[in-house]
Amino acid sequence: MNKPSRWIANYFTELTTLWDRFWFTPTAPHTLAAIRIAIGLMLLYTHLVLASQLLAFVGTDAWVTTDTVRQLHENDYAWSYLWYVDSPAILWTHHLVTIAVTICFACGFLTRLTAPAAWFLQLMYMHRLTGALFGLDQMTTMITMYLMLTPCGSVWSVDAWLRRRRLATGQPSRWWLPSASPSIAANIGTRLMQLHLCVIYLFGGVSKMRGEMWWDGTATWFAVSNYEYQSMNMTWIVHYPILFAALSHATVLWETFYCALVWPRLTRPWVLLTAVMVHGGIAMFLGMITFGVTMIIANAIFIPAAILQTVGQRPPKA
Amino acid sequence: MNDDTLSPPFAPPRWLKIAISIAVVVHLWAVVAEPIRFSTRGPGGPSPAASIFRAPVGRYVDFLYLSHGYAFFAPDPGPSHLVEASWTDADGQPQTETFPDRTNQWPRLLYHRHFMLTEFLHNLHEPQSLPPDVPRDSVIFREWRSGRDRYEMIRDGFANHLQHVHGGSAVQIDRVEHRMPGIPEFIEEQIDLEHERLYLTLPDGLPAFDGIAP
Repeated sequence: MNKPSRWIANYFTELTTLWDRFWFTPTAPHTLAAIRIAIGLMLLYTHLVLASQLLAFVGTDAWVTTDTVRQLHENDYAWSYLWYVDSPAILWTHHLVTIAVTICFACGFLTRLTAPAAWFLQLMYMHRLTGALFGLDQMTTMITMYLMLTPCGSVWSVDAWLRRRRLATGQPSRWWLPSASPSIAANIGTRLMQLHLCVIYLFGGVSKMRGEMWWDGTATWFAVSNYEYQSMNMTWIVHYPILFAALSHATVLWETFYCALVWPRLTRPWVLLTAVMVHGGIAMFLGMITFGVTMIIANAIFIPAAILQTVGQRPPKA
Repeated sequence: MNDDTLSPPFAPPRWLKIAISIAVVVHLWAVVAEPIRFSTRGPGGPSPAASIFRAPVGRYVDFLYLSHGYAFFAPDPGPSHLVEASWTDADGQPQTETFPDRTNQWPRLLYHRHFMLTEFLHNLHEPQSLPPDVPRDSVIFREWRSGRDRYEMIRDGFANHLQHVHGGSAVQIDRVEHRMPGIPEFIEEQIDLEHERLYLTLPDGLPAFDGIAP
């Protein structure tokens, strides 16, 4: 083989090896399980809040009616059976089932069934609630979608308790009650969520770069002085132009370069710490508590399972 | 007994790895397709290349609710858009409500859902009329007609919902813009964020083409 063709062959061999290692290395499910509990509770909260005005959002006389939402989606492929349901009794039954499924998902009960069911029910609501949605809904749907691909109910769950009970009497089903041992499915779900999060931040940064306020540093001021978002008065920041300008620039840089800096071990903790500060700030000051918390939960996907595996373990006796 | 150590990791055969890899690539294609299309849009719409890139995975993107541009507070943080609803109640008294309303809509998530509704209405707004010299068979006219119909459908839905809740006469819906004070304005005048000067009721009938309209 001549030199260029050998170089090309070596390149593709190395690429295949790296691809194989990135996607097909078994991973423990503990990080996914922690995210399942947190995002399951968040999903449950959103369904409970929706229940407080269910018919105002999905009923016959809703803000956006079923006819309207069908017409809004006539040129795309979003679809929901809720477009065709007008009966309050059916809508309430459906919502109570959704809440029950979401509780099971958060608890990790029959997770192989309740995780995809929680995601599908959420998806149907997303295509019905057009106009009333925001970043929280994008994130909870996305995270649940990836969790359902994984054995996220194999630890810290009712399923794990059931598995232990079944082990005492016989072999439990490996599919319905998977063990918490490392698996490729856990790794694929983790990798997809990590990459999706990188895409979100990259385009968040790129979109901000199209604006002028993120360049001249005034964006943070105009965010905190928006009364409808405000949950804590941060207008004192106007007297510290260096501070609000620095926060604006740091946000753009952090979002844009998140996709590169979150992977190396040396920079990862700082990138994640910034995520907690940025989204914690959004939660506390800009009134989007649910969105801020959900973004912090999403960032937890970069916490190695080995760190969480030690949680709840008794130290070995000396 | 710890069963975790007893389960050997499943080693997928080569064909399954290839199938999973293809599925992963297609999915990631879908994940990036929409934000690429969103980020490359200009006055004439999205980039044709980005639209072609998205087309093969379009159904998948739409159905899985992956159709996001991820532009949080971008390109610039802008003013808020509220809805002012006016009607006459059963006793003949004029009534007015403004949405979102943080005192009546609680918890915060419920308030935010109403806020998104009013922003949604504003984002779909098309003016009530076009300059008379725009030909009725033009693309501009057809796009305006379709956009205006969509806006009126949403606006009338809001009005019907409020009439259903409150009773009384038909509800009139007006859009209100609440702008943020500029930095000099805030420092020098110490203006309150809720000062009436910062609220502007947006007219419905402005022509779309300010520069062309007579």
